[in-house]
Amino acid sequence: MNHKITAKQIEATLFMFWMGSIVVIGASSQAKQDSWIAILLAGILFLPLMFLYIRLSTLYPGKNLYEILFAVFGKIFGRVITLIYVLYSIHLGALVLNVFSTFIHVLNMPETPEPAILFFIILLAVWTVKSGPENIGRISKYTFPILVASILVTFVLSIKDMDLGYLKPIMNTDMKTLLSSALSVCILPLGEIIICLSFLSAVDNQVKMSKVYFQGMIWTLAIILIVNIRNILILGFPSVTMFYFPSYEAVSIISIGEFFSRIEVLIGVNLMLAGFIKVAVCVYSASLGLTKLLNAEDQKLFVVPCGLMMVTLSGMLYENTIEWMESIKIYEIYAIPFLVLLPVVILIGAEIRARKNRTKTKNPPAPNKEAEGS
Amino acid sequence: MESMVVFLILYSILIVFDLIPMIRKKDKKALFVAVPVYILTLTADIMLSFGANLPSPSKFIGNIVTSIIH
Repeated sequence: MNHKITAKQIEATLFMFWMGSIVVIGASSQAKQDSWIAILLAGILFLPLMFLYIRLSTLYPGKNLYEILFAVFGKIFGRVITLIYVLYSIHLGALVLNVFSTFIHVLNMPETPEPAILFFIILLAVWTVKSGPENIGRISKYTFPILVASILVTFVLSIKDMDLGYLKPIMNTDMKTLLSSALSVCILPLGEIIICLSFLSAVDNQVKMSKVYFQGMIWTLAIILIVNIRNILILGFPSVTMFYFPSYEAVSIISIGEFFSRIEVLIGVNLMLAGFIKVAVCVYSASLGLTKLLNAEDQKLFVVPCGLMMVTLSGMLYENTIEWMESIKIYEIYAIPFLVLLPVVILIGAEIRARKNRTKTKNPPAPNKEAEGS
Repeated sequence: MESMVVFLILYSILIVFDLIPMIRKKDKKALFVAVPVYILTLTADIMLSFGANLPSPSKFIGNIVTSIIH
């Protein structure tokens, strides 16, 4: 029985991870009606980061993020950076859980206590991760078409409610705002993919990671673009910025005749599917990091503690929804060291280490004559 | 109160299906992490369910980021 993650599975996992919270919150809206241009720019800005991840996976084939860290920085610094990424994974997982519970609590089940919502998500995520990383891959592979189809369906059904005038004036945003908006999309969610590097050791060796990254990114950008254009064309600016969940509000307008309505439930389903995968990936990454940090053998034993930390942290993060929305701006700056600076340092370290290894193999140490003589 | 009941159910499930098998396995490294995490998170969750205001890490991060920018 094959327990390795296939190319399609890892591609779907990357896509679902990227889509985790973006399907509900929508991409950055600083560039207003030009935010679709910002998304395209974000794709270009993300390319160097993507090449960085591809290079890392080429230099250390078959090794996950934490194994690379230990191989590059040794035991002490490797442990320090591993701890940083474990804490970051737990924080990211808590943030996604918070989006989950807030969305369901605010829009669907206001009487249900938020811990009850978190309870089911985390139990399922823990169970999935305990069953092995290949299960996350398999679930992603089967849920990926559902998410894409539901977004396309909402787009097609909302065509009659769209106003192309909302996209005008095109290119009315100054370059600084446009770039800032593009950078926001580049960091949240595209840059977060470093967490998925934990899966590299579980991926089939024959998988070409460069192709997987490219295809995953193109799918993600295309879907983010569709979601963003749909929201703008239906709601227009500044209405899009007035809602916490613009996708939900935009899709709630759809109704065909008097019998086909309440399509917004699809947005909740999308969040369930993509958000669940993102939480599961974060739990997996954090537990794998803890295993490496403590030099333990069984990663599955650390899954539940990581899940519990996420649940508790998500309850402590924000007091209200306004605080949550304001913190997104802070998060874009806070995440830069984890998603951009540290990966650059890791790559530089990996390149130096690889060159040293190459010179060692080219000029092997001279054989010991005394030893030969004896 | 409802939140506390939910947390107690969640923790009882996890203790039965995760912590007790872990104790039986006698994996010291895993227990070294799991036991403190169970105790701390359960305490924090119960306090949260009673409406206690625990220090938010987001505010702490926000203060650091703001002090660096300005």
